[in-house]
Amino acid sequence: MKQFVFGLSGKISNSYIILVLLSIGAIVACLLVDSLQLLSNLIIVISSLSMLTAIISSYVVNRRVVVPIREIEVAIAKISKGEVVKIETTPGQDEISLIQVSLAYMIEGLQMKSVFASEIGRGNYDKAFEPLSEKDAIGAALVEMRNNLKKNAAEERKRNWSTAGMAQIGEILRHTNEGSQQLYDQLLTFIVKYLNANQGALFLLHEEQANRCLEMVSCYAYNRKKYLNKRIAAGEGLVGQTLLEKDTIYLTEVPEDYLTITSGLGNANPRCLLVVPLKVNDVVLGIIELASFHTLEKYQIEFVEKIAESTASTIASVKTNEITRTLLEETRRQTEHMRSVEEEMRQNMEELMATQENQLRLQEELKVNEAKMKVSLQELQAAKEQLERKEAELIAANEKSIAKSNKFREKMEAMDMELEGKVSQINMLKQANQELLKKLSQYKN
Amino acid sequence: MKGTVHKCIEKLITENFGRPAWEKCLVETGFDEDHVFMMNDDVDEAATMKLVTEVIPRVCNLSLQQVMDTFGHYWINEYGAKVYAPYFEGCKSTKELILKLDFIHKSLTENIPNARPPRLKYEWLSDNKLAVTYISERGLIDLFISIAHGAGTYYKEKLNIVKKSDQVLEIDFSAAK
Repeated sequence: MKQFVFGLSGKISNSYIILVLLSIGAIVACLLVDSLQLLSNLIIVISSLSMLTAIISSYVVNRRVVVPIREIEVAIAKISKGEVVKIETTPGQDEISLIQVSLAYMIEGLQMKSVFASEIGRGNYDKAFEPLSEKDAIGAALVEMRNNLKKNAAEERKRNWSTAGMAQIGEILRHTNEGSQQLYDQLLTFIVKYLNANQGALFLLHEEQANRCLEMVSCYAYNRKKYLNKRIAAGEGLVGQTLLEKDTIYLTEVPEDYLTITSGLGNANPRCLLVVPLKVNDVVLGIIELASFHTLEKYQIEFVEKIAESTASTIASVKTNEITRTLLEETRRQTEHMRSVEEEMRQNMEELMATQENQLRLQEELKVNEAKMKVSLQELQAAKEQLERKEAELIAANEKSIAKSNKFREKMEAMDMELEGKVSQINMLKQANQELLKKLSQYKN
Repeated sequence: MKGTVHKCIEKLITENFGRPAWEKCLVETGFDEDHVFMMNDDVDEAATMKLVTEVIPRVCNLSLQQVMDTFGHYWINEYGAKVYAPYFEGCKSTKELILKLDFIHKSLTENIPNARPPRLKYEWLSDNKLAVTYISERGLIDLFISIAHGAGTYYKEKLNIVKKSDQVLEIDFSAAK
């Protein structure tokens, strides 16, 4: 009796059972009744009843089975073309109703997936969606697609953020005077604000003789530029350590009292500390130090490292430009010196040429003079001989004259002595006279 | 200074060291090499002092004392004995000559204007000891001592002369007898 099932198959089965029972009844009746007439009447009745039953069954089947199936078929045809349709469900537990219900669920599921897909298409990756079941492959695929798209969007956002930041950094590096304080301040301010950090410091390397130290060239904290003088030796603290290790340091447990700047609202230790070397070709030219109350993500740290590299290139370029400028200046001075030397040499050459021409002229004159000199030499020779003759005569005359002069002098000296002697004699006579006179006067007295 | 002194020096240098030495002395003193001193000339004092104290010692390689001793001897025994023979005639001894020196100095220079001959003052300390005061701005008392010794040589008498100061000397004539 399990064949008496509810639903459509039950109805059809019951009709056939009734027909069969009626047929059997008719046959039994025919067997039980001898009269043909009764039999034929019975057959007619039974046949009529059977036809009526068949008609009724056909109607019922048509209404209860064919129409719904046809509706289901239409709906499925539309769904196969991608239409979202609404399907009427009839209450019941028969197969047709169950199919209708399942189809309705399926359509609803498709609608939800469609809406979800639309939302994903609009970029709303946070739209809630649950697969219909664990075996909902399409739903699971949609969810996975949404997750991947969300992840890619996040990645894209990070990339765009980095790209935009690098573009702005590029603008700052291009439009600010190289090596100027303004460059360092703008750079640091941008980095701190772009990362939503709280404090930042920029150090540049100074190498004085054998000592290497980092000097703070810019400082920014709590939305304000700060003015601090700070020098850090190589190896001293995190910053000095970064200089030696040439690698980024990122701490999420910042030592107490590490920071030297506090806000007016009070002291608070930052959540994280980032120290990045300004490095180009493995040469460290400076350090960027950042402190923030929120942790920094990997892409933000990578962004700062890229900025550090660009900044290091700029600084290296500044130094190179400075050296180039100095060399150019030196070259210019040397060129000017060379030009002046060249000019001097040119003038010297001109003078030399003039001198050479003069020399040639003088040589010509010299030749002429030489000839003249030869003649003069001969005349001089003759004159010399004459002079020698005269000299001899003069020497002889001179000797005579000297002899005469000596004689004269001797004579003169003799006369002078004689005179002096005479004077002495006179003086003596004077004295004798005086004495005589004295004696005479005494005698008279 | 009277040119007779220079004439004496000229003869002294020429006879002992040669004419060229004298000409060199003349040139280095500032005179021409053929300069002739006349006996009655008034020669510049500074040039004379330079000639006697610097040039002659250098050229003739003598000390100043040697120059004065040589001059003192030559002045009395060679030059003075010849030129000033009348003065010597009246003196029979060194003592008489020394006592006459002041008169000789004065009479020799009385014709020279602005002449400042050295003057001598005499004081007998005893019969044979005479104190002579040499008065002259030239400060050549050592030269006077040399002349006194020269006089002793002329008269062949020994003298004992003691220089008491830059102005005073004592002559002891007792050994002269």
